[in-house]
Amino acid sequence: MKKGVIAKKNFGAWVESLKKEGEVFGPKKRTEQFYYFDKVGDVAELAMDYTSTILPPKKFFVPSKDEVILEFNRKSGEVKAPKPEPAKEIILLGVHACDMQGLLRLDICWREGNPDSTYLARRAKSTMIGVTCNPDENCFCAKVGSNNFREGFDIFLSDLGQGYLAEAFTSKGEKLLALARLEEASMLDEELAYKAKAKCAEAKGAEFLPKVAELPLLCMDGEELAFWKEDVGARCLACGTCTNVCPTCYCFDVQDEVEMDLTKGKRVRSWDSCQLEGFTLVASGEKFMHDQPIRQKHRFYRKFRYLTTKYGGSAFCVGCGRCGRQCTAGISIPETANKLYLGVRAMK
Amino acid sequence: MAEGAKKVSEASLYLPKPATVKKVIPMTEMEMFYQLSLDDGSELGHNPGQFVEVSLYGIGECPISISSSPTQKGIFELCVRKVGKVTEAIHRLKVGDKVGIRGPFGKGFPADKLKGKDLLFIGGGIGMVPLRSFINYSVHNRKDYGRIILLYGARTPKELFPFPEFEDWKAGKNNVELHLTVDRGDDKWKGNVGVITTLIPPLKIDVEKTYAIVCGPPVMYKFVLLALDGKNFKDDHIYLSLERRMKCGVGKCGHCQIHGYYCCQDGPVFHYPLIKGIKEAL
Repeated sequence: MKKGVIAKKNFGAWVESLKKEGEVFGPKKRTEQFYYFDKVGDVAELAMDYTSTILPPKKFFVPSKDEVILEFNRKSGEVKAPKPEPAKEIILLGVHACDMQGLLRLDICWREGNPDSTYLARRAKSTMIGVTCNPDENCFCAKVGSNNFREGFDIFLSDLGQGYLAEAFTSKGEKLLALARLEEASMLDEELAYKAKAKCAEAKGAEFLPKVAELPLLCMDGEELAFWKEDVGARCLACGTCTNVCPTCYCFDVQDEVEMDLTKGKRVRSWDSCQLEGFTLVASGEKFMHDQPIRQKHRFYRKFRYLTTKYGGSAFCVGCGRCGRQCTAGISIPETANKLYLGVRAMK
Repeated sequence: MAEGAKKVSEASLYLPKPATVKKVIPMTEMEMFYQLSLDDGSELGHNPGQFVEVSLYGIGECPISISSSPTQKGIFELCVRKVGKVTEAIHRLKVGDKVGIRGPFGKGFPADKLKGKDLLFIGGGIGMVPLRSFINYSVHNRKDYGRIILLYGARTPKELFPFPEFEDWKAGKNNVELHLTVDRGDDKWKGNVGVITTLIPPLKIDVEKTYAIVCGPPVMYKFVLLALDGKNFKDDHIYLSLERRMKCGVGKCGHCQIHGYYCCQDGPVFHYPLIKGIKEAL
């Protein structure tokens, strides 16, 4: 494993050298409180000490809208699927542990059963460079066990103040780290790096009462609790923001788009949301998830029960806090989890 | 990325195969019946109870149950109700027109497991369409199955599908016991009037040997299950084919999720014990 310290004064030069290896995307500041992942131009624009981005890095692998899955010609009858592989390596710089765990969950969903070649080709042609986090009051990654600073990363950077301790975990990572001016890490650097990583576990963050492992069981026992209907289900405005910003939500809709000549066209997919009223609507008019309490429960259960039991183990909520941070109605996963936990306890 | 680096197939999950409409037969006011074949000459290769995604480029794609038995070679059959954007466009198709087909998808009826058993088919409305694939399969393999009983109901006599097999079965051919009912009769109707569950109590059946295979509108299942319970049917003798918004067919898009199941992959045919007690299922 290649390891060393990149001084911050040399960091910009390293990022510049990465641009020759692929398309580099990293966190930038949009307004006072909002950050977003974008193509890195001027290295000075990078905001490596960000808290959370509006959208997670899933947007690079599952585009939010109008991703072309077929191209067709209605006259000639020609139909083809675009080549799945991206032209250039996707280098994501400054990914937090929670978001990396989110992508690892998506990897499972897109790979299991029928592998989705487009998603997997993009992931195969990506390099993940992590960075330690500055958690806020909405974060709870440690509560759901996603403060993992190694799994999935090619390189992980721990902020030491004057520089980053850089660790490469894959051959891809080692190759890129070889481009940096590396200084040998002292034991003090190692300890500072550990401290930077521990911020996630030490963060005050949102209170989260249940243990993550007991959540599938709490879900089983708590299906009928009144708060689904009277509280979160009644407050939810059904806007779908929570699923858009979630690192592990990937449901999509498919539409055909035809050019003005009515001949050439594309079949495109775009993010969909289980929180929208028409999500389960079929042509006969039946809505299988017919009200907001059912849809709210569905989202929560998908994170902690359905996919957890289906794919064996990990929660499909990674504790990034985005849905709570951005919910207009102020609904968050920790709040819902706590209400479920207390509700089930009160039943017994 | 170690896992993703694993070589994956470049074939798209979403690329349909071209197929041609070979025959169009009007069924009722709302439904048309189509015979199609794949342009590459291959068989669809389905199991009874599976479905396909039908593409009309520029309009969209929708899931349609396969109505023919796989024992019928060279073509496959779909019966389509005009109810949405894509199905309306399907109704405009003529012989020789092209469509895209993905699939077959999902789990069908357990045709092999039910060999030697008595089959009780219960179909309501367009639920008759997927059942027909298994009924015809069991008729084509008649010696493999015991009694074949079909309860089929529609709202009015006009809405009963005029499948040619019905005439054979009414005439006692192939030893299929056909029981029809309608919610509301007309001047010519001499058969049973009432919802489909009214046909269940009078049945003389050996519940130890009989398996119920049910498909109908969402509202029907609860009442049919109650009526079967009244006959002392065991849960594990019941199979249900469910309707959902199966948009992608490959277990990805999320619309057809029922608890941990994807209807398009784990269904549309479910063994009743698997979904009993799941609130969202029935």
